[in-house]
Amino acid sequence: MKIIKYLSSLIITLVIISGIAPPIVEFPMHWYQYPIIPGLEDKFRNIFFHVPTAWVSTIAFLVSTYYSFKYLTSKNDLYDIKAESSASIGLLFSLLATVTGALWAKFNWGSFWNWDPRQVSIVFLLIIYFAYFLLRSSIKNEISKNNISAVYNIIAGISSIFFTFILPRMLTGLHPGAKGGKDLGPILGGSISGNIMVTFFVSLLGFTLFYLWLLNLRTRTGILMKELKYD
Amino acid sequence: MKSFFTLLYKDLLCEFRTKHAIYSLLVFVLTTVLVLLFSILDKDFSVELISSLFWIVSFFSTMTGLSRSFVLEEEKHTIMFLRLQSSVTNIYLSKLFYTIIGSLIINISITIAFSLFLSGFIIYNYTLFALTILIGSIALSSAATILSAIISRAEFKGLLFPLLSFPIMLPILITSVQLTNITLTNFTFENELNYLQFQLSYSTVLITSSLMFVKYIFEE
Amino acid sequence: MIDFLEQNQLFIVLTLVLLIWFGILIYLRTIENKIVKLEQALKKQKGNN
Repeated sequence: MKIIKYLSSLIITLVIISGIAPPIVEFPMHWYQYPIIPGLEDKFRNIFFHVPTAWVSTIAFLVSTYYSFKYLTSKNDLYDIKAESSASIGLLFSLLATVTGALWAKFNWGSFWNWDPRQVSIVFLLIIYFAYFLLRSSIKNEISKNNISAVYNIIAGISSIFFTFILPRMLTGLHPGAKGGKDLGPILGGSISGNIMVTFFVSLLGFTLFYLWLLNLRTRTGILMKELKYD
Repeated sequence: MKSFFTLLYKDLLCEFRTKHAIYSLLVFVLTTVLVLLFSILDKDFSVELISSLFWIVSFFSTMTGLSRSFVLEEEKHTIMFLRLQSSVTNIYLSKLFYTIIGSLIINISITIAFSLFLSGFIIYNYTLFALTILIGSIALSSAATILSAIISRAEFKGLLFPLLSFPIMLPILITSVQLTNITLTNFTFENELNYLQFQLSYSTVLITSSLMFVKYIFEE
Repeated sequence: MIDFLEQNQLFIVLTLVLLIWFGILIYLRTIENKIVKLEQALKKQKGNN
């Protein structure tokens, strides 16, 4: 855990520096220069922060569903705590993804909110997991609370898969990869210079490690709360 | 298997005696159509408006009437007797089929009412429309039944139910509205099969996971 | 002053973002230290009982 902690702090610090500092020039000559992406220019730097937050929120929700499944099959309270912690981190990161996305949308598409399928689906993910915490707080019996919230979490995980991976590709939208859009975007299309690719994937790694650290912290507080309440 | 049919028969009989779902459906359909007719007197409604209204009415009448099935059992404290009589899976299946039947009846009645009152509601593609209504009902019911089972064990049911069910049902509603759009226009589109596949896979995954995990909801 | 701000936009943004990020890191570290203390206290309590 110590390695993850220090590594994630270091990597994200490096990503912030290498995402913001390098100049953008038309014909990159050196390794520290980024090429111009038509239509994005300086705004594309957000890709190093917006995409990883959305990625972490997806990962966190899927991990939360996985732990709920583990809880139902093993009835170990630790998995319930982990599922709840992961869902709360996912909620935080999907909020961050919404905010960074809205800022990017303001300067690229003209307004903070465009009713793009992905924007709508992340808001509905927020509502789904907000409802999950509301459900948890509205059941008094401890065992049935854990059971029922785990079942709901599995249903929520299924619909989150449909919301993030399938629905945005079926409807017309502004994000790259939507229906009718030919380009897959700068990353998946593979038409981008090497240094941007490296920074992007290192950023994904750093944010994932950061998520693991946060999950560890939340789980430990959850265990502490449980032990102090029942001992 | 026999207990499944007994349970289904009991649900249908209860509904036939009280007619809660039928009344709420009638009120919803009539208010929407009348408000529409009075607010926009002699203009033609666009196809998008009509198809989204169709599914709004369907969603709310399904929510208020049918998906209270588990909640009613819990409120009347009859769920214990049901569980003594048969397995949780059987109870779930009977409720699911009851909801599907009810939701089909609701959608067919909305179709009749809309085609009587709204001049813009002309179906061009009958097979696709029938498929849309059938698969849409199954998908909506598969989400509504398991959520109703979850809600029946919680407090603040009135607040939680719309909050939990709306986001889970939204993918179904979006695709249903798109499909209805296609059936109401004279043009041909190529991606109606995608939407049907989407709804079928969504409801299949929901029903299988519900069958696997519904027994934990009533565990204490 | 305005010229300086306009010429060094990127570096101003960079310092601000780094400051916020270090703030988050320090905050998380203090939280972690508190958790460690609580965990140790709980362990001691359990050992005494």
